[in-house]
Amino acid sequence: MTDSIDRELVGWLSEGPDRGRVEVLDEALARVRRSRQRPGWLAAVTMVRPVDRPVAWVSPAVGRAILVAGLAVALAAALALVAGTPPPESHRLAFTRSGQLWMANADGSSATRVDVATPLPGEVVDVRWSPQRRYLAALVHAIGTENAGWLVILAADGRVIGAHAGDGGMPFSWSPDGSRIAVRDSNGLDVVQILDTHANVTGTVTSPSWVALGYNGWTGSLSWSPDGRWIAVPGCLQPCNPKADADVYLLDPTGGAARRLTSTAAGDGWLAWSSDGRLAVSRTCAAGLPACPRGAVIVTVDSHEQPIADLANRGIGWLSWSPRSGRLAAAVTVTGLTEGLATRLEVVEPNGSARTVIGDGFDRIDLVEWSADGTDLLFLGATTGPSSSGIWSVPANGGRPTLLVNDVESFDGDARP
Amino acid sequence: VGDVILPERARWAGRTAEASVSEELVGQAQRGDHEAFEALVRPVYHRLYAVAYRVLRDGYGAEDAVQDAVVLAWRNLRSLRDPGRFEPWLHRLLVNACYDQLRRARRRPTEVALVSTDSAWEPTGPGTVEHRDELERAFRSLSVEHRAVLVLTFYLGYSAAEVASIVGIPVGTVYSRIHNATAAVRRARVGPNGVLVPGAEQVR
Repeated sequence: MTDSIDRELVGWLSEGPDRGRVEVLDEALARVRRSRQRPGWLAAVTMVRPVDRPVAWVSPAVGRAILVAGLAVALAAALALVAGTPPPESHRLAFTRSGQLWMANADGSSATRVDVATPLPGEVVDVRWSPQRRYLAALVHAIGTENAGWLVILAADGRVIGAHAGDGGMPFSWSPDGSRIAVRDSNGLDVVQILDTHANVTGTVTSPSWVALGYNGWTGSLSWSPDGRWIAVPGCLQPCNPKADADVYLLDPTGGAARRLTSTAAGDGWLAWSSDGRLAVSRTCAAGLPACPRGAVIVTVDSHEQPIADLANRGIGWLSWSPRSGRLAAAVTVTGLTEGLATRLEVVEPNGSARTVIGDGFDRIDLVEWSADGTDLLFLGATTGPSSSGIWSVPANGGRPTLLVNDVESFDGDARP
Repeated sequence: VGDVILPERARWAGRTAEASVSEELVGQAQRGDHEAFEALVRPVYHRLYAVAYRVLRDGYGAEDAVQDAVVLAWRNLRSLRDPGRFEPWLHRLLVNACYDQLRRARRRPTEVALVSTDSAWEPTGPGTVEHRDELERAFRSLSVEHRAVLVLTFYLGYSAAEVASIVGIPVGTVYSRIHNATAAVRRARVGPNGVLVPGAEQVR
């Protein structure tokens, strides 16, 4: 556990003024009444602006030209690619460091940077190998905005073979055969679209006219079932607040009717399919967030639910099934920010009992993945003390964790079911 | 990404019933309705000011940042696709406005923060006034990007994924900024002998 500095910061920040002068707001609203709204497309372009890097503002005209040219280049690149035999599979680690894509050997050695060309300055924020590890999907955000981004498809050797332009917050999930990828897309409407391995849109699964898709980060909130029949998403019937009362819906990749899988007063969040078709779902208690932390339940496609008693109300942050044996790894936050961060890594055995793999020493554990043979766990972790987050490996039955690569923001390691 | 309970966020509980009303207002405002926009912004104004003040530690700068964010929100409202995310979107605009304010503020004197001494919060360290002064000084030594992540996390209680979405950085960067910022505050407050270190290391 860290020292009390977090708690002191919370207390100190709660002090100070909590009310501004009303005349300041009145003045702002007067300026609002004198100004006109930008059209949506123009606003989206001009909202692209620097936050973390000294990139210059773009004027509306220049921004529009850059965006149009960029989209044209991305489209041309996708169309110019000739579909050939699938590239060979890769067993390399893919990870992001300072917003850039890197690959390394499975033991973390020989890390090399991979160039992901995008029309506007961007940061790679997430990476996912296809199940057969022949393709890599990289989600790129235009710097400083959620309104522009790209899902870039690369071959295992790092060659870019397709790009799909959309907004920045695009959860995505590979189909089990690795031939398609589902992405929550925008272009004015929240829809789940199906792309091929060259990032061409081959179908649209649903529209938000009746389902508001929940937002739970870039991965884990859109998950393709291992039999290929369903794409699970957290969402709710409008009007509703998807953050407060989301349930899990199963979307049909072929465009058929969607199904409501869970029905709960609380919010469902992260999703993970097992190889035998069960869905692990993190869920708040009935009071919802922030009154209680998330627990976890296992749900079958016929909506039968089995709570995991040992994970009830534990602050579940990440769930990941082992490839074949039906074990479930969970990152569990054991203290709140007010007391200092500490996260445990636990494994739930098929009988429902949880076993601690890592009990202390880590402030944060995230993005937990199993090795293909189910013997080891990879995770993104930051140790207690002065360290950045890195990719760690630990035996699934417990043991000493090993740092593979440091200064990592997101990664994808070994095969998932 | 654990779910934690923080003071400010606890006060947000029960907002679900308001959500559909707000989303309708967002839709009206996106069609150019000034009154709907005002109805959206007025209830959250004080919270916006509180956030901006905590990031900038400057009352005048905070007022300017809130004004800029409100005007930008109106002008770019049609780019907001998900009406349910109006407030996080507004917080993103506010954080950006704070960045701009701090860059401008380097060319002008900064207001000295006046801290109330009758707060209900009881610091754990010795010497209340000195303790707060240490925190103030340590916090000011951070870059505005690190301050923003701390305020969004510790004051507003956003999760790491939400902070990442608002600020436009990967989740791992949120973690590293929290870690580096709290470590820097710790180092800046107390030196090896328990003595405040002048000009302590800055996180930038």
